Amino acid sequence: MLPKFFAGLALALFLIVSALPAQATLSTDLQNLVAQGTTLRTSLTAISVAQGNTCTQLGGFNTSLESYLTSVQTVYGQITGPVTLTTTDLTALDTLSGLAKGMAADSVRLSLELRNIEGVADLFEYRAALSAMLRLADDIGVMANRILEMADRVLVMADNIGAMADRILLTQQLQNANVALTQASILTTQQNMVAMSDSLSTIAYNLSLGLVKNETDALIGEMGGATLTSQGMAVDLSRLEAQASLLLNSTVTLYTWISQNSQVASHYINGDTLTLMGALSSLQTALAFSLETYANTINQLAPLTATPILSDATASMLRLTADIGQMSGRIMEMADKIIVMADNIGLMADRIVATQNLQQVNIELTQNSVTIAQNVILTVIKNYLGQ
Amino acid sequence: MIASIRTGLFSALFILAGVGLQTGAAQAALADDLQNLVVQAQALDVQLKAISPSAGSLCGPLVQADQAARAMVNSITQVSDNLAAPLQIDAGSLASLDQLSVLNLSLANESLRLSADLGVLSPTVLSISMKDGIVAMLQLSDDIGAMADRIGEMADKILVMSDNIGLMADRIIQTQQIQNQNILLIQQSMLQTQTNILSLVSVVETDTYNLTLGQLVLDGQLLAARMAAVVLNPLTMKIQLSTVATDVHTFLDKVKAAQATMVLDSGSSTTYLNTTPLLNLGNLSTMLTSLASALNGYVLAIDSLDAITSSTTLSASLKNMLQMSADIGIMANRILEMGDLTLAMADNIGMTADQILITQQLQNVNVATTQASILAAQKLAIAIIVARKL
Repeated sequence: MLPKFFAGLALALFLIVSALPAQATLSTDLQNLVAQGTTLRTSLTAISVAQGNTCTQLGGFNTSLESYLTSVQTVYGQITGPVTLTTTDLTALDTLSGLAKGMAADSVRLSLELRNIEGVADLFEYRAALSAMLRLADDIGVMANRILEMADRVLVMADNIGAMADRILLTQQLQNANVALTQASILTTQQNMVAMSDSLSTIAYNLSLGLVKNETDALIGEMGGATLTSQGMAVDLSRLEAQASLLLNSTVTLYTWISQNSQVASHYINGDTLTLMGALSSLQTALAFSLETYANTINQLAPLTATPILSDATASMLRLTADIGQMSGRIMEMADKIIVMADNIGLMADRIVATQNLQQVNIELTQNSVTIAQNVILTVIKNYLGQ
Repeated sequence: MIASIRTGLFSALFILAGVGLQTGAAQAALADDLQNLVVQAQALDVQLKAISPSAGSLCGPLVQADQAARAMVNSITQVSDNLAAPLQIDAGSLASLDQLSVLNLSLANESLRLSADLGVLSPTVLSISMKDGIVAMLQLSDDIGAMADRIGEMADKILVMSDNIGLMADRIIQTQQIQNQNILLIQQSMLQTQTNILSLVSVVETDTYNLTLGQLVLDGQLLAARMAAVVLNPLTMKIQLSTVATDVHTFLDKVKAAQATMVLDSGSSTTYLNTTPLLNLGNLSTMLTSLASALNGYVLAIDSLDAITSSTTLSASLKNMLQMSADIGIMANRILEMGDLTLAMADNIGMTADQILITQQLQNVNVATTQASILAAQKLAIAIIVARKL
């Protein structure tokens, strides 16, 4: 009888002693989470878009927040046995949910601050901050959820619900209200961020690209059809120069349109746009090759050509080469601008690389021809005009 | 007559001197402008060389470099726009153009180095940070490419406007050749940079989640129907609720698994949002409210059976109820988190903005309703525990 009594006593003592550290650990863990959460909240409050470098600040904060979430998850994972709830524990849970609510309110403030700079910053600058903001909203939401889940788990595991019923109910109600407010703030943050996102399909450019392509085709036809003579070269080149100048204007107008759009909206790349960009760069090589041919012809005709005609012709040639060089550069830049903020960059990656390869080969050929033409013309000026 | 000739001569001399002085001043201004551009390009080169991307500081230094590169392009454009004929080219200006072109090549090579650094980092960096790095790098390569074009255009413009080409022809040809050579090397660097960066892009189309999400909606609806069909009685209540609690927990595991897959994917890829998964996420949250309603029905039934149920059965049943409340709460949270995560990782927010907002609002309302039902269930359970001193 006595041994049984002692055995029972020993078991009871063991259970009491082993339950106490578990209880103490939960209380300590919750207090630690409150302390870490308060530090985090303070650092988030200190972040302001006006300070600049928003994406670095938010990135650093997000990293800390994710470490904090791991800590919350660890504490949650350790609540595996019965716990005896104390008022301090419940107060800690209340404070934690209040911290999540406060951080969610801060995320709304930051999203409003970001909207204010929308007009003065390029899309790519605040797009980086936008990603960080959405990640922040996501993480704060997860934090609020984990805290609520922890409170629910504590309730499931609690062995003194009856004694603490009123206080538990207060905590559950507060948690519920705070989670609702946190989620509402996160939704507002997301709405603010999504409202800043705009997207355009590049199909809108295809018509203009097609027109530029047709005009380039026409200029190639004109340049291929013109035969320079010592008498008529200045007139012919002046006419071609005017046509090239119009084509350059069309190209620059399209480039400006795409540049302006790429500052405020991302692009959904249409396959035909890439095809047109590649085709245009091929046409530029044909234009540049014609220039090279003209320069050689002028070089041959120079001794037989009157100085005023030669002077006008070489001046026209320099302007033509400048215009065609500028055009080919702008065509490549147009493609670059579209790619930077492409919505479907991953889906179109292979096509983009293929187009960039084609453009690169073409621009190499174009620049070579343009440089050869310029060098020949400069030699003509040096030898025959002596300017 | 003589006086008039003299006056005319002085006027002509004055005009000539004025033109000469103006040309000289313009030449000096151009030389200064070009030298300032060289200094600016050198500073940018130093800035790029100092960037060493790390997981913690990916977007900040790159965005700052983008801003500096953009400022450089604007400065070149401004100098180019201010050029006015006639210009006299001197060796100093041509040397500055050469230097600019060489610095431009160095910048292009730095951007190539940075793209390789990003490649090394990519396995260890979250894709959401990598997404920012990719955009910033593409922007940087765009700006450096634009810089090369603007320098070339400025050089061409100077050539067109200059009136001493014949005298400087050999030196100009030398500059044009350097520029041409560098432009080709720059373009090659830029292409390699872009290819490196594009190889880092990894996208998951959210359509791939359709099957999983659709199945979850279906399973959830079946579970809600099963829960609603259970009629509790004082004798079997404990077993009935234990079975339902197990079912709810099994379903929770499926929801958790789906969310874990999304979290895992988000570590290495961004997402391309489609409409169907968004609709499925909305449906999932609607299904949750059915589960929560069934839970509320149980609490009301237990409340009415309270007096004729034994304390042991009641205690076990209420424990199961609290467990179910916690599980449904976790489910609600995971479903909401799936929506938040998909949005944070989306490449194409702008295109699906309206649908995203509808889904987020629907999820928010449904999760709030679910949480309110869970709270009501918990309140009633606690009230019974207190009343029966369980």
